[in-house]
Formats: sequence, structure tokens, C-alpha cells
Amino acid sequence: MRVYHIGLKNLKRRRVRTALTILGLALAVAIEVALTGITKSLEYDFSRKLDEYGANILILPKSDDLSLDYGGLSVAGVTFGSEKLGMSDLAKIKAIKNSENIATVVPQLFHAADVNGRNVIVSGVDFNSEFRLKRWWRSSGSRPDEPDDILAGSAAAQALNLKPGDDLEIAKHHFRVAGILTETGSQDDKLIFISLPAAQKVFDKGEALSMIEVSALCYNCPIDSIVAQIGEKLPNAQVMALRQTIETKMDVMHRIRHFSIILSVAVVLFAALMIFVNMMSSITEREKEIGIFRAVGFKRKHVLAVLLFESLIVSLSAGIVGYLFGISGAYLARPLMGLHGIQGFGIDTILTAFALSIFVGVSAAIYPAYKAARLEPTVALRSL
Amino acid sequence: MSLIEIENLSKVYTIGDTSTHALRAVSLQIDDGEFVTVMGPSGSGKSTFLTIVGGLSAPMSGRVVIDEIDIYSLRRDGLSDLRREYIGFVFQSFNLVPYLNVLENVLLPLAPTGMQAKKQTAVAGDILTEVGLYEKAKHLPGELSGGEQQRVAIARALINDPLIILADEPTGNLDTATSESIMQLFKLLNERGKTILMVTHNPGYRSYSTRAIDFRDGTIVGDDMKYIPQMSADYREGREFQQNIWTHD
Repeated sequence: MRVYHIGLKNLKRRRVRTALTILGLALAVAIEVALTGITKSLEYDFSRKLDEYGANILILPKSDDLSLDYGGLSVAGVTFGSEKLGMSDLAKIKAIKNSENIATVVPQLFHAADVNGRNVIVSGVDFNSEFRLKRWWRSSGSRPDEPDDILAGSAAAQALNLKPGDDLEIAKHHFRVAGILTETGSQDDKLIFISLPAAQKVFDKGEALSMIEVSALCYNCPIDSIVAQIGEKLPNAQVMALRQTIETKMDVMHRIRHFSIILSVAVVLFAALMIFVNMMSSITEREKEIGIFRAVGFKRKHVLAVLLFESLIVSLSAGIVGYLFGISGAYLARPLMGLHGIQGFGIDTILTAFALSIFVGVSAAIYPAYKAARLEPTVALRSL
Repeated sequence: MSLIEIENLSKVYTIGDTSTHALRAVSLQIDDGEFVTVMGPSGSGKSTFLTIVGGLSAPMSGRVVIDEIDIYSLRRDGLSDLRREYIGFVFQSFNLVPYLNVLENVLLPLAPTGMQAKKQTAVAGDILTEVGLYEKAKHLPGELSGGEQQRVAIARALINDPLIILADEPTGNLDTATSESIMQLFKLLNERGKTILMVTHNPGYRSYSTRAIDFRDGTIVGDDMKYIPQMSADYREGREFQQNIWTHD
């Protein structure tokens, strides 16, 4: 027989108490595991949606002649007519190390043109990419699908008195108004959009681009790293992260994470308190038994070993049960949270669950065990 | 030199403003192989005397020397080792661990030692056979009669082959017939060389002992020594071996 044998026997004897203690700690672990999973999933889901909802990286030529207010953000250094960006750069962007994080690449060519006697900025775009990037775009009429179709911003359409189906001449080329954008509140309202190949052709720009917008999925990637990688691939370009978008996203994520941490800490503290009270009460009940151990030659460290071993077994069991409960809970809560999948149930979560369980279980037991180990053996002789 | 040398033991219990002198400068020598019954009315200090001799409670003053070891000069862990190696305790209420079976209760003092499981079981098996409980090795204490439980307690006290057995009213919870059989067992152990110090209220048990001591108000008022038994050669050899281990450790 060994000292740990006594701990196992005691746990078996007090089956109900042992089971309840395991259950209590397991619930705390389960809540932590489920919260971690749900939080990560919410972050991931929210991040993906934000990533897809507009560009977060802007690529411009390096020259600094004009400034452009784009998307409510001041973007310096746009030189219209610059030919430092080109179609071949699109492939380079998609070839960076973190290419899997690149969701959408949207090339644009800006050119000022005289339309119906008014100066208007014409933007050549890839309509498919543009609509994918700007999911908030709504238009009357139809989506442009022919090479000579145009989409007019609401302010531009009002100024030029355009409606769907109207004909329009730009740089001596004939176009048809396919649709009018409903008001977006952005610079897009003032623009006339034509297809990128058409713009390059009518303004005689070859394969030149004025700007490239990139939407990077940055749940797990450092945006600065992607910016640096693109910068390396395009040395003549100015690559900027749209901090406002990223910081808004990070702020929301931090709030979700902080809420999760506060809740987890509260639950874990509650579990620690429960184990502490349980152990203290158990020690009082076992005073005589501990006195017997001491009387027959157990040292303090042996008594401590018995009690901490019991606590370790409870903690390990709670870790297993809690992890399984946590996964199940997260999956059950998935539809309520509007999530399609649950993130974060890898080896790190398993290790965290066990580490948390053991830390809480054993640390809450240290003082009661220490107190028990200090009991004098005469306690066993109180009956005399 | 005697196996147990007790010099000027004093102990005072203080509760609030009230102090009670449990022991007043008690001195005594107990030789190897003696069977000493300690008698006296309740509150006379006999149980306090037993706990101090057993290394369970330190005196306020005085010394207890067992086998030339001043036990209260030892560190706390050293005192635990001494209790395990030198002393076997038998209590009135048996003090068995209820969730350990008979075999495990007997093996309890060996749990902190490094003795191999097979050897542990073999030693416990021999002792359980000796006390007539080998067949009940897997029973829990609650499944045994009072007499059987006390036999388990005696087996536990013997598992480390201690020099001394300290028994506090070992028959206090047993009927007359069972008490007699337990006393016979103690007598047998004494004849095999164990030194026994037993607290009892029953004057009839003086006949089993070699010496009877009477306590009153924390002092010894009577010491009736009948004879010093002859130690067997085997026992003396084992005893010298044990003493050497402690002397040279």
C-alpha cells in the first residue's frame, strides 16, 4: 500500500461528494471551454464579415500630387494618370505569403472626363469584384454586364440628369446607363463607373491602374505583415492599412474577449471557493482519521500528499468531464448564437482546460490540506 | 539502561483562566519486556502519561528517553519515524480507518515507507494469521465485531515489529469474553518480548501484567513490580539491530 492508495480509497468511499465536487469544477471548466470556443467563433465569424465588408488595404502609386477622400478616410498621394500600378500587379498581390488571407482584390482606374459638359471623375472598375467588396451597393436599373454599360453614382446621375437606359458619351465613346446607385454617402455617389477595360481603352491608359483596394481576411493574420508583404512585391506602390476599419474590428473583438474573460474568471473563482469550502468541511470530518495517520507514523508531508493527491484526481476528472461538457455546450449554443461552426477546440484548449482544472482544484486545496497536515496526532485520542 | 526512561514529566492544561495539572514531575523506568498496567481514576493523568510516552504530545517539562533516544529532542519528522518504528498504538475505540479494509488498515503504518507491496502483504498476512483474521482481510471494519476490530488494531500496531505497544483501554468497548481473549493476545505478545504499557480501569488485568502503576492527581502513587521477564536470544538480537540503526542513522 502507498500513500496515494488512501486518497483513491477515500474518493471511492465518498462517491456522491466526489461526484459533486468533480461536477462543480467540471462546470467551471465547461463554461470556460464553451466561452472560449464561442468567443473565438464569434470573433472569427464577425471578423470574416467585417473583412468581407469593404477594403482594409489600399494600394496607391508612390507619387503625391493629389489627395483623395476615400470612404471617409483621408488617403494621400493619389496621382491620377499615374501608370506605376498595372494589371500585372494584381497577380503579384495574390502571390504573397499570406495569399490565403486575401479575399478580394479590386483594381480601379480614375480619370477626369467631360461628360455632357460637366467635369466628372470616371472610375474604371471590375464590376464583379466591386459588387463583392461593396455589399452595401444597391442600384436601380440593372447591374452592368455589357462592356459599354455604366453605373452612375446618385449625385453624378442627378447632376447629369441620368436614368437607367440613357445613352452617354464619354471621350467620344458611346455608353449606356445600366443602373443608378442609390445614395451611399461616400465618394462613390459622385463617380461614374465603367468597366475597367473600357476605361483603360477610352482614356488610352493601356493596363494602368490608379488604385487597388484589397480586402484581407485578417482573423488570424497580422495586417501589418500583409501590408509589408504587398509592399515587397510592389516596390513602386504605397500600401496602406485602413486603420480605422481594423481598429473598429479589433475594438469589438476585444470587448467580446473581455466579457468572456470576466465571466470565466467569475465562474472559476466560484468553483475555487466551492472546492475550498468542501475541502475545509472534509478536513473537519476527517480530523480523527488524520490523527490516526499521524499516530501511526505519517509525517506532515504524507498527510499533505494524501489530500493533494485526492484533489489532483478530482481536478483531472473535472478537466476531462468539463472539456467534454464545454464542447457539447458550445455546439448546443451554436444555433442560438447564429454560428455555423465552433472554433478553438484544438490541443491548446484541451491543455488549457486541464491546466485550469488542476490549478483551481489543487490551489484551492492547498490551504485546507496544509491545515490538516498540521493537525496534532492527539486528535485521534480525543475519545479518551 | 531501561528501554523507557521517564524523567520529571509535567503537563498542565489551561482552558481560559483554569489550569489543570495533568502530570506532576512523574519519573519512571520501564525495562525491555515489561508488561505495565497503568491504573487510576478518570482525570488522574494516565492517558496524558501514555500520549507523552508515545510521542504524541510534548510535555511542558521533563524527558522521555526511548532506547537511548530523547524523543522530544527529535525534529517533528524524526518523531513520526520514531512512532512508526518503535511504537504500536492500540486505542479503546479501535481507531480503524473505515474505508480501508482489514488488510489495508494493518498496512497503514507501512504506506509511507518504501517497502515493496509483495513484502507488505506477506508481513500483514502473517500477522493477520496470528490474530486469527486472515480470512477477513478484505472485510471493512464496519463488517467486523468489536473484538475483531481490536484484533485488527493490534495487528496494525504490530506491523512494524515495534519494541513497545501502548494500549489505552483496549478492552473498554468489548464484552468480558472478548476482553479476555484480547488480554490473552497481549500476554502472548509480551511473552514474545514486546514491552507493553496499558492503561486500564479493570483491576483484574493486573494479573496479566508484570508491573502495575497507580496514578492519582497526576502523580504515581503505587508501583507494584512483580518480575522482569527473560528476553529470548532472538528478540535481544533484533533489538540490538534496531538500536544500531537509530544510533548510526
